[in-house]
Amino acid sequence: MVGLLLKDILTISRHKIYFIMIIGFVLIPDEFLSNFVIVFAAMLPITAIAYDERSKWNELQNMMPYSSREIIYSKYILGYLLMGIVTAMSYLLHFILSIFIEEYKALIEPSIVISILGVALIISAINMPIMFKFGVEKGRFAFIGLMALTTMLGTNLSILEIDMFYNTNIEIIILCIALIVNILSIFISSKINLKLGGNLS
Amino acid sequence: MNAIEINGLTKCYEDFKLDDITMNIPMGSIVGLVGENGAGKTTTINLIMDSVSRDAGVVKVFGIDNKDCRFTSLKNDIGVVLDEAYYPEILNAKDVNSIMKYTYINWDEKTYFEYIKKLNMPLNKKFKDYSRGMKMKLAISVAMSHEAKLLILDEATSGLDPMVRDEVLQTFNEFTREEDKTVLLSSHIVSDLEKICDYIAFIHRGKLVFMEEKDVILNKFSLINISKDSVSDIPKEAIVGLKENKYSTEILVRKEMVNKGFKSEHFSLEDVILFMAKEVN
Repeated sequence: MVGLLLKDILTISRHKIYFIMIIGFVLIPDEFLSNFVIVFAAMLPITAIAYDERSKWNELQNMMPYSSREIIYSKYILGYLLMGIVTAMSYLLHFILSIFIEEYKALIEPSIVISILGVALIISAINMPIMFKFGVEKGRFAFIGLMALTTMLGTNLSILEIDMFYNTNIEIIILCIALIVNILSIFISSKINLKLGGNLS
Repeated sequence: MNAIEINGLTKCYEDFKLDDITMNIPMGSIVGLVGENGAGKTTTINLIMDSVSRDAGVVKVFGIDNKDCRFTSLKNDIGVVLDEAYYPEILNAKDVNSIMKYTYINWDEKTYFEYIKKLNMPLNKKFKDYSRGMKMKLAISVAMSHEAKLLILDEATSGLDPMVRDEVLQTFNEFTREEDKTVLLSSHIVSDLEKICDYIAFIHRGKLVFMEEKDVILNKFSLINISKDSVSDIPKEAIVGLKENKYSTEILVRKEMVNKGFKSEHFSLEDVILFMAKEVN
C-alpha cells in the first residue's frame, strides 16, 4: 500500500498549483475561505483518482500484488494524510499570523478548525464511493451537487442565527458523524470495488 | 509441472465470448499466444491475472487458484507487461523505481537501472513525453526487475523498432534459461513468436484452435502448390486450408495424410495461422 500512496503523493506533488492554492487560501483572513483549504485537501484524492483514470493505472495496478482492500484504503489514507497535514499547516500559519495581525485570531479557534475538518471528512467520505462507482467524470457532478447542498445548509443555518461553531461541543458531534460516515464509506467503496472485479484478499 | 493451468475458462461480454479455453503452460517454456486483434488474447491474460472476473472455468498459477487469497501475494512472482504501460503521465523512470520498491517484495533497483541504461531510457523524462516504444521499454524493465518466475506479456513487442524488438526478445529468451522461469507472450506479430516460442497457442474468435509445440506444428503440415485440377487428388480430410489464385492453388495439408510425392514449399508459422484462420472463418 505504501507504493500506492507514494505514487499518489508523487503525482499530486508535481502540481505546484495545488500548493499555491493552499497557501493562498490559508493567507486570506476570512473564516470560511481560510479554512476551505481543509475541504480542498479532502478533494485531492479525487484528483489522484482522476490521474489514475486518465493513465489507466487501474489496469496495471490489478496486475500488481495489491488487494482491492489496499487499493481502496490507500485513497482514504491519502485523504486523511492530506487533510491532517493541511489542517496542521494552516493552524500553525494562522497562529503565527495572529501574533501580528488581529484578524487571524478568530481563525485559530479550535472548535472552528475541528468542525471544518469534520465537514471535510464527511464530504470526502460521501464522495469517495461515488468516484469509485461512477468515475471522476460523472462523479464530479455529484460532488458539485454535494457542495451546493452543504453551502445551502450553511447559509440556512446562519440565516436562522444558529451559531453552530460556537455551540457547546458541536465539533465533537461533527467529528463523531464524520467517523461513522467514513467507516460506512470505506465499507461501501470496498463492496463497489469487489463488484467491479477486485478481490479483498 | 505447469506454471499456468487453464480449464474451461469462459467469459461472456455483450459482443464477445471467450469460450471454454483449456490449456497448460509448462514451467520453463515460452508460450506464444497468437490471434488477430480482438481474438481474446488480452481477455485471457486479464482472466489469468484475475483482473477480470471469469464466468466459468478454473485458472491456476503455480498450482494456486487465482481466486485463492494467496494469489495476491503470488503476483510478486509474476511480471506483467500490458499492451500499454499505464503509468501516471507526470512521473518519470526514477519515480517508477521508488513506487515499485514499495510494491514488489523482491524489487531489485540495480537490475532496474541496468535495464533502463541498456534500453537507453531517460531517467528524468516525464512519462507523458515518452514514445510508445519507450513506454513499452519501461514496462519491460519493471517486469524484469522483481525476480519474477513468470512473465506475462501482452503485445509487449508492438511499437518497438526491429532492433529493439530483437533485443527484447533476446532478453525474454535469456530469462527462461533458468529452468523454473516461464513466459507467456501474446502477439499478433507471428514472426516474433516464431523466433523464441517453444509452444504456440492460437486463439481465434474467442476459441482456442490449437496449442502445440512450435516444431511439431511446422513438422505436421506441408504447403503444396498444385494446379486447380489436381486439388481433387488431395484427400479432403488432409486439407487444412487453401488459397486459390489464377493459375494454381496453395494448400496447407496434414503431412501424414498426403502422398509423399507432393513437394512441400517453404512455409512459416504465420502461413499456418493464416490458413487456419481462413478455414475457421
